[in-house]
Amino acid sequence: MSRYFSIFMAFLKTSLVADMEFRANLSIKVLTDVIWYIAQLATFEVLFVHTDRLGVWHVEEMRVFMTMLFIIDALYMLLFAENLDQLSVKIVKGELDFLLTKPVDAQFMASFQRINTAYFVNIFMVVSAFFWSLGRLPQGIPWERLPVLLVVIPSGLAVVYCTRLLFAASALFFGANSSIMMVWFQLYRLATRPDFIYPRWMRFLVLTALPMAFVASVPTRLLIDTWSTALIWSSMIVGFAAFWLARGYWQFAIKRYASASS
Amino acid sequence: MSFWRRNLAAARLAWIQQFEYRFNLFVDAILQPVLTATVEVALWYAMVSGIGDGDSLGGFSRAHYLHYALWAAFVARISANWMYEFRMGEEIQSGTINVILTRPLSFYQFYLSQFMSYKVLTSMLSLTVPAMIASFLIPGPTDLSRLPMACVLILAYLIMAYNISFIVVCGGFHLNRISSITTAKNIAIWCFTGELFPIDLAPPAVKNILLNLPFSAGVYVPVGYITGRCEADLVLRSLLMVLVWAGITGLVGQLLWSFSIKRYSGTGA
Repeated sequence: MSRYFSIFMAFLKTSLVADMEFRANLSIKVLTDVIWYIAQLATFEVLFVHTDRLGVWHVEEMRVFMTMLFIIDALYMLLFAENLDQLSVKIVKGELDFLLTKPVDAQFMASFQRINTAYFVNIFMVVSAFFWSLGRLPQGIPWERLPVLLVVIPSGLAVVYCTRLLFAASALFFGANSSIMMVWFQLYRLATRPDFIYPRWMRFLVLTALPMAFVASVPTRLLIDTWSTALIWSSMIVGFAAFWLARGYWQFAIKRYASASS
Repeated sequence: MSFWRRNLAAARLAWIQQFEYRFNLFVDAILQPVLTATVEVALWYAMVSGIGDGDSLGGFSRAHYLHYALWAAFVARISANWMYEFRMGEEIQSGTINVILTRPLSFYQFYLSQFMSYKVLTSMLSLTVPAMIASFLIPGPTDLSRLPMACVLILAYLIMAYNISFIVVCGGFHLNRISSITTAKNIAIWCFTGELFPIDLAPPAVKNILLNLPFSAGVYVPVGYITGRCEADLVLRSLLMVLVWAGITGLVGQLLWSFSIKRYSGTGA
């Protein structure tokens, strides 16, 4: 475990050096995400100019939901985004072979090799925004419920990472898979809206087979709606199940990988 | 004559490439916008579920919002330019642009013909989906007789969008990485088009600014026109504005190209 931690720290160091070489690029990455945050927030702010309630939430609860989503998104962008974006390119060019020859777990290498250090700035911003939005709740910051974040944030992150890995690893079978990746981006949109807005069948889907509701909806409900121990357990189970499924799929796919440019 | 022959050849190339990867085409033209439309229609359904049949929100009925969300997902997909901008940038950065520079066709024309032909193909496939849904599944304010005029506006917008892409791509001669600029630019434009919400819902000051930018012609004006939120006068005004901006951005792009190509060493940027 300590070996993997030291490797992770080495990745972090080299990524930081690489990012500092292209500082303008770094700033643009931060700016791009800030624009995305503003756009997502603006959508709901404009809607709440015309209505006081969307489903069961008012604007204050919706802000907590959005900032929770931004936290998970920023963590995903920091740790995994660039690696999984590049995975299919590595497979097509045969660069995955280099990872497979290393005496370290290939999934670990493929997932953490390049860390997007620009997103440390974003994480600081979104965590500040999250606490600001919690402070605006009529009942104030629910301090006694905050420890639940230690369970639900890793779970939400696991869901995003694992679904993305499932799509990215499909390149091991299909080669170039840019269109399949685009489908993932559309699925991710399901996570950017609270689960209660969906019709019954679709809500069932995002809470079970495509568990995108566990990214931000469930964590937010646990913080600000009725307390539910069952929901915390569900979140943990979904996180582990997603990881187990992605791990199994990766190992299955690697066994069938026919090496360079397959 | 040879001008048209050359450009038609480039346009045909885009169709051939698309039909070679039919699954990609299906995902791009149908599956992606269907998924987006499903999520957005669900959001707007929740938003307007409290509106009764005779009531309205911001002056429009529940059906207006559902139809807007449906069409916006498809039109936004058509009016965005990600693929060709990344591809053009890559050509400059890697030096493979040299192959195009040796041909009797400019880099601008080569990709403009491909881009427009690809967009015409995806539009024909894509727009049949909301047209069918609006006609048979969710009856409402969609007026299909307005579609041709909306398509003219979208085509003009695409030329302007391509010219903006060309300006960004020319930056590739001078900068190390432009892919992040492409992403930032496209996300910024996405905020102004009206895909996120109908611009008429925004506070008056914001609405005025957004309607006076040419980007509203990417989604809000054509979709608003098809779904009865706005009338022909706004479409004509928007068309005029887009054509003026297409001219300005085209000119800037050509000047930047002339300046940059003289400094290009032929070994990639």
